[in-house]
Amino acid sequence: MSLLVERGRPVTTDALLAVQDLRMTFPGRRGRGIRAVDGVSFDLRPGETLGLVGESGCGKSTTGRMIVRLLEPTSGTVSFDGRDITHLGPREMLPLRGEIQMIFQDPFASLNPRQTVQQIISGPRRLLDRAGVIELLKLVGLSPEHIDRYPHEFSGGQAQRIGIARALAPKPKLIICDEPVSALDVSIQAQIVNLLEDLKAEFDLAYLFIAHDLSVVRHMCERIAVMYLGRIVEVGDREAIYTDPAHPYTKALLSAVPVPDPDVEATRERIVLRGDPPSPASPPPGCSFNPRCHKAQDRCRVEVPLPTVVRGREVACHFPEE
Amino acid sequence: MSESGTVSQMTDRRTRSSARRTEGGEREASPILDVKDLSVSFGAVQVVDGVSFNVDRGRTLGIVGESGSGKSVSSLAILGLHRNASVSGSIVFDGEELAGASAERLRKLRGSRMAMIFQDPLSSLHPFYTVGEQIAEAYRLHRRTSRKAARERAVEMLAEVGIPEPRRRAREHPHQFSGGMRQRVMIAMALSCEPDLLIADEPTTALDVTVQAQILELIARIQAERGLAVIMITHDLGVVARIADDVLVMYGGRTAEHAAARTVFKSPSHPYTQGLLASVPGAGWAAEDGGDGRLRAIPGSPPSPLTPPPGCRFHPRCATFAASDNPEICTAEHPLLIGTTHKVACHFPGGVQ
Repeated sequence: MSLLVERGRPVTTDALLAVQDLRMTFPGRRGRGIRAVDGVSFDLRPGETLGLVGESGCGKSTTGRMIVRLLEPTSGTVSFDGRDITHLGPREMLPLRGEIQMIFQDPFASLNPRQTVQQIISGPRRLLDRAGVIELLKLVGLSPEHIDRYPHEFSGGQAQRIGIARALAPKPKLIICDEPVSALDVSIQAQIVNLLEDLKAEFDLAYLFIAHDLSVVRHMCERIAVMYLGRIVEVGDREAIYTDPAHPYTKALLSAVPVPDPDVEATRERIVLRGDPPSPASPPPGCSFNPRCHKAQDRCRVEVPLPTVVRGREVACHFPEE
Repeated sequence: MSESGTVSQMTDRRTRSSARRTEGGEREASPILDVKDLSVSFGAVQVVDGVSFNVDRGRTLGIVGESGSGKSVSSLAILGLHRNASVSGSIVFDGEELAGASAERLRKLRGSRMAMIFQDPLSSLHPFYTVGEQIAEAYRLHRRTSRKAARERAVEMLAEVGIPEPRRRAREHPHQFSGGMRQRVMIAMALSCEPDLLIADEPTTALDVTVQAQILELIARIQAERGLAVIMITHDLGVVARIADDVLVMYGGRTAEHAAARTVFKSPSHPYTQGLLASVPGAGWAAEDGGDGRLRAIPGSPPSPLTPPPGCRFHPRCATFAASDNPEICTAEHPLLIGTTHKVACHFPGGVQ
């Protein structure tokens, strides 16, 4: 705990997950590191859903993978239930593996094609007997006769339900959902979103919901963190972020999402960002968003903005939106 | 600062597109593409079953559907890109019947007067050749120009689709471009011969929303400048609401609903369209909806073309069917597409009385 306080922000005691100044630098060409995640900090309370949104390459999935320790962070700390788990070895991590589970984007790629549903859900540690697996299948909206089938016999939505059942088997407290609905058909997405919400209410789960679909995130998440080029640029409550964004990037991102209403689409103001997100291998100096920002001034090209509290949320911008 | 973002107030595209249509001269009378009763089957499996639509110059038709709805197969059939399929019905392009046309004739039209862009630009571009060579190749083939003129055309097209430093970038290979830039290259290639019809099959699905907005704006700009007819195939109702003039909703290889975009979004009649619109989170964004509560999901999953349900293909998932004591007609009879401007294929459009 002392380490955490040293780094500035003390961990709030009720946080289930506390991420402090997390960094991931991948080796790049000519010795230059690629800073995929560049100092990310946030807390997640028990039973809360935090959305992590941003464009591809912003580091949102890398952050999720570091939390479950699929990747070793370059620096920073991950605390779970008040305990620093950043450098635990495989043996010490084992009891925690059940408490932090993960749901992936591509349901077929994340299920072993040579295992039956029972083998997949009960897991390598045989957590559940047959009756237990059947109970879980019913819970996620599948039927008991599915238990001896193989992944290829299912549709995408059903396969994702199997992935969810597998994540629930060890009775986790936290599930990292990495784009859990983006590979599914529109009508199926709503089913899975509803299922995730029901399970959260029933088991008091906390979700870290990583997604690029801002409308799904708005529906699911109480708090939202917006990432850009390895950093969180704005984090706050859903309503603050969606109805009154303070960072120009958040505002542009929200205005780019097409709304299924032709009248709204014909009249609303839209900020079209020029250019692509810059590469984390060669981030621009100053605020990493400055080359695409319509409010950028000289100061933004030199000085990295630090997070400050603006209208009840944290935002890293020299000139936040009024 | 070409890199800086701009704030643009989108004017109503529909007024611009209708103004443009009156400039074009004598060819205005008939739609550029008129598809009637199109059916496509692979062996015994019928994937598209009696779909009709047309597109005028300067207009955009949105085709909406889930996987297996036949939306992509229909568009590939228009271009004659199915080798082993039996295609029936009529496909009239600018007064010329394409159903049964020779492969050579279709090859001449493809790329010059009808062009297509796909979801994944990387798999549509050849990794060995520079993007300039790839754009120039199609142009030289169709226009019979010199290599030099074709190379110049490639640079010109790259500039038109908003790629900075087009002369240098034309000498680069596809892997040196980002996803959004590759899709711009695809659009440059598709438009190099000034086609009359552009079929875009999920062109922005693989892209980030900010880049998607750029690509949609680019397509709209080129369409406005050239009076291009566009067919936009997508599952994203927001994209359709943003760019389409007319909307065709497909389900299980058939037309569920076909009307002007505003009609489909504001007063959908088919229970599938209604369900699809209701299942999108944030549909109430305009009303500052808090986003609480459950989504109204459509139960079940889309039908497989191998085992389509009898009668109306949507009945196993239909809320109207379930709420009205499972009327026999829905399981027995395939509903006909009725209506003139607002066409719906449902036995009980707007619910059972």
